[in-house]
Amino acid sequence: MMSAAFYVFIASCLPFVFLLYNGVTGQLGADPVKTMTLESGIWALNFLVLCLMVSPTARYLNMPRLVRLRRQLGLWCYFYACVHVTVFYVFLLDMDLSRLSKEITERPYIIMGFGAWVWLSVMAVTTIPRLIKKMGGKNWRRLHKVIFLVSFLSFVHYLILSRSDIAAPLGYGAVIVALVAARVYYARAWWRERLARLRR
Amino acid sequence: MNEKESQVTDQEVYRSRRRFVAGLSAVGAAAWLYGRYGGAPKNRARKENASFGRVKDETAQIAPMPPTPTPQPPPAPPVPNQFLLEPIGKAKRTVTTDEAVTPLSIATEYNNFYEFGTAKEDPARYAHRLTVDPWSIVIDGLCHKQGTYDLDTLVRLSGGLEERMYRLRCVEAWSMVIPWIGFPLARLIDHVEPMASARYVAFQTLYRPEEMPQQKSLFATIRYPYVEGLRMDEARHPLTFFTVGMYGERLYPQNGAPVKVVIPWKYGFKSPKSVVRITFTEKQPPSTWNIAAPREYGFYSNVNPNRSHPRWSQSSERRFISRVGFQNTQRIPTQIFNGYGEQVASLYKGMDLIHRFY
Repeated sequence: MMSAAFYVFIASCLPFVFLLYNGVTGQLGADPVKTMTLESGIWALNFLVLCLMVSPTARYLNMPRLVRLRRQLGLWCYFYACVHVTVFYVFLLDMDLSRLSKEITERPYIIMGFGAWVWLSVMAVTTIPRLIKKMGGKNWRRLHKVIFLVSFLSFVHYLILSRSDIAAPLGYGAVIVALVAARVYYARAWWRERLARLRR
Repeated sequence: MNEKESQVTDQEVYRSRRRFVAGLSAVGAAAWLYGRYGGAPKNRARKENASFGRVKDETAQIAPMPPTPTPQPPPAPPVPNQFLLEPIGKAKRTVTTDEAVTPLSIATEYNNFYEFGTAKEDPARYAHRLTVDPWSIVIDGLCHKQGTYDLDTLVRLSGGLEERMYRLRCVEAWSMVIPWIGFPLARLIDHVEPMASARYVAFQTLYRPEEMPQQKSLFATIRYPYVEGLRMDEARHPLTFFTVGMYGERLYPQNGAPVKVVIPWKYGFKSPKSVVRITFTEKQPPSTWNIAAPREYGFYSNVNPNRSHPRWSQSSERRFISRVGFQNTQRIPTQIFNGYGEQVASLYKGMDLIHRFY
């Protein structure tokens, strides 16, 4: 039997495969480039939320092995974020570097999104096992806390680019807040246990 | 890695929780998938457009508009409009351009008509619900011939429809070239005899939440009904077009059927769709996007490549050209007043169009 990681891999490919298929067969609507940008962004966000879900879920269900899937989910998040950025740069900016630098410095929503992508890149690079060893577990963990910053930036990016009907970004925001709250909750329990142990 | 931390939950509790969570996430996932991929079939609006002219006994519902100077005339009885029953026929082309016309399929499937949803394909998907017949427009405010005019009367006023190929520039930095059918708004204005004190013209879009789902949304950042306005000289300008058709047909519901006012030198949102009311006022009337975000959208909203919008650089635009697929747009520089500067620049002489009158 195949491992869970294998199934996660296959499932995570699917949105990209569908997007590509629909693109090639001309089913992405009147503006395929925009659809592609939007969809890849949404999927990066979906995987980001999945990543944030891993550790609270693992604790809640008492299934510690779930945590092993987090790295893969994180890399998928980065993959979709890269598709997002690439489509934007290649098709929407026509690979014009001067326009890119202007967009990155002048448009608030792009500053947010670009910031999120840069930090995601840092996280993605530091999933290389040799680098993790070099950094040490403690530093690695500390660095990967930027996931919260990335979540915040992505949420704001999505929120301020919505012209009206902010239901979807607010929905993502609510889920992110709930997941952070879950961590705070578990961290409290963890601290309490530690303190109790110290007292003993 | 985190195995120690996960021992916190009591062994007995988590089993029941696990079932609950699994159930919850399954329901959530199913609902989400349905909403995203299950929804209504695409392009229904176009197919059902054929049944466009059928008479339904519902009057156009008019919602109150913020500041109105005069009491409203009573609504007209529902009258079927002959105009909507007959083919529009050939209209004389009076304004043309050598730019390629945007394919009809794009012009009718890529729309901003937020009343039906904010995704570009939402209007094409949902606008078939719009009842366009009977349709009448309330004309009130500072004019001598106030009243409720049905569509037939208005078309009769036109003295013959004409076709004009106009560039349409959206504030979102995309553009199209569309052959509209209609007549100059000035003809209508002349007919209703505005008073000397009338300095502005206000427009209001249909408010009918049972057919326009976004009007009920709790998450919409703009308020409905959608309102727009023009200065009198802008409204009377020969380019300002009272539009009832496109591509040789009547207006599609997703494009603002049965009547929209097209102002080609302004960003698309200045051209109100599905108009139910035209009011002559002395003071500058409110406009929807200006209310929602005054720093981003001013009253004038003339196409201006020199004024950058916080969301979009306006120096260039993506023009939809007659091709399909990933290469169906072309990046072209944006022209001041959308290329109509020769005709309209004089309207704004001496005005600071970047910092004050944007």
